[in-house]
Amino acid sequence: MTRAAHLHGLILRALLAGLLLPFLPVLIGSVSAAWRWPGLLPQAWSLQPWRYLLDPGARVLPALGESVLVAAGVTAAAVLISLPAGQALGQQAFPGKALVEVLVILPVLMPAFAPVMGLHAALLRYGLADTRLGVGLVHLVVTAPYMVRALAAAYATLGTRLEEQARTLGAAPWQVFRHVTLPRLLPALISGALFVFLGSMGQYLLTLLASGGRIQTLPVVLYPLMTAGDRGMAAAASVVLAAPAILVMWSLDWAVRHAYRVRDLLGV
Amino acid sequence: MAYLRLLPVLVLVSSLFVAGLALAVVQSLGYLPALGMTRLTLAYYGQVLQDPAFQASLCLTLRVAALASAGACSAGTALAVCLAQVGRAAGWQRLLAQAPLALPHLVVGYMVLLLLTPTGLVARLLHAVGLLAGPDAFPALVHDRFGWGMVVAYVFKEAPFAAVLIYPLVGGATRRLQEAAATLGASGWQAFRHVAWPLIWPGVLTAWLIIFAYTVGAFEIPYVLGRTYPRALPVLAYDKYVSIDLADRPAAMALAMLLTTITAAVAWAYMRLAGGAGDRLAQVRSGRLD
Repeated sequence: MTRAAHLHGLILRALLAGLLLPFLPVLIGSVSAAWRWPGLLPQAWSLQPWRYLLDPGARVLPALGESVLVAAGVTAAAVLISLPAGQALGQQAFPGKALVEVLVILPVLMPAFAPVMGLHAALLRYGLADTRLGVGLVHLVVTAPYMVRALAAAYATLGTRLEEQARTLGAAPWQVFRHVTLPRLLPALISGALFVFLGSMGQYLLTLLASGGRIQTLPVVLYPLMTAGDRGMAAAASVVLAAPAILVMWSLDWAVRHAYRVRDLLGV
Repeated sequence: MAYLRLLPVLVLVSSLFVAGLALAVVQSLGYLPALGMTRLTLAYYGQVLQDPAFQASLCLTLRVAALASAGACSAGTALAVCLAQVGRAAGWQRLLAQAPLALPHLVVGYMVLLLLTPTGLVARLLHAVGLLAGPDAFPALVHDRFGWGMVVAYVFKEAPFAAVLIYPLVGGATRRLQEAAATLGASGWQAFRHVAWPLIWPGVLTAWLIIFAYTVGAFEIPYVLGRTYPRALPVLAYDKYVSIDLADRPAAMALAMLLTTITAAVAWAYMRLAGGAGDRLAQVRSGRLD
């Protein structure tokens, strides 16, 4: 290994150690009964926090289902509206394009709670205020721009050459999309969908503002546990909120890499 | 035809966002027919701007955002450069570097809380190696006036995000150009300063602006790691919004709009910059150079 690579490897390991450190108290704390100063490990271990969380009375599993339901709906809607928008922004020129780009990226750069606070009265009037649809819509507003941006960049990189060739060979537009565009769009589509899904799963303030606490997603049920006194419970709640998100992200990463490795091996 | 494709996004996302903003503006000017308030006035803005709590909040929020984004960009650039140089980084290194991206912000706040309290893990580690006498000797990093805990939390959460944004700029294309410059006689430093850096710095600045804009308006980390005074601006606005006294509502909206104005200014700066950065990289990628 060259000296430069060796130095970079060292710095990388130091940075990664720093990234790993905050995970430790939460992971260890979630299975501890007593972890007083100055112990580096708990004095007493316990699975009690987990027994509580998995108890039907704690409403954790239904809340997880609620979160996944809303997030799945938001992701599906985001894909449907972002594909055409990404294509238009990435491959077409039209009057007012700069303005449209600004409008689309607005929720990325500005906090959404001002608009959501402002919208709440309107949501009430149209009967959307305490419903999954209203909450989903609010989640969509803050997550879709990331997907549009990712797809626009992907479409811009892909160009239109292959699609045009497929058309001249007689393929119908939907065939062109399914067999030519979609496979090459997949990495951007997956990473955008992942961002939208995780973004929706993690929303707390906006869900609270849009539903007044009526729609009980996982963060709405678990966050009060984290500000209450029981450290073990709070740590376990953190793991429940964090672990699925990280696992989903890692498995999609593996899936995308595996898919491309297989394609390379097969020469397709 | 392009407009048709953009219609769903513009209707479902942009118009809702803009309409919400407009409603917030109107309410901040005192228009709340439900409470019988129908006269437009700037009085609530005046009330908020003169409030010392607001001024303290503003200082805290801007200070934390500036430090957090600078720290996250530095760490993120280091992460991106090291990952690029090390080449086929072991899978677990890449996975660990990505992990904070998936964490919800309140969880990040809580993780850093457990890490940095006077009886937290860092204090215990320092005590175990003999560098710390006891919890009293540990500096106040959470619930402190300066906001250090929040800065650490944001750096932890956003450094991988900055790394993701910057990684494409320090990868193969840039290094090949540096090597080409070296074959033409440039020293290592010259190759970096005059070839690589002009390609990298717009991306770093873009990442800084995005993270700064986000941090100014973020709620959850200050909610967990901040003090009751001064509160970060978003927490201040939220507290006023959920206040039992509905007459506080216009002031809450005024706070929210002042916050939005700050991020709008940063967004404008980002807009000016983002076009340039994208063009540069596209030129490098397609082989055209000027």
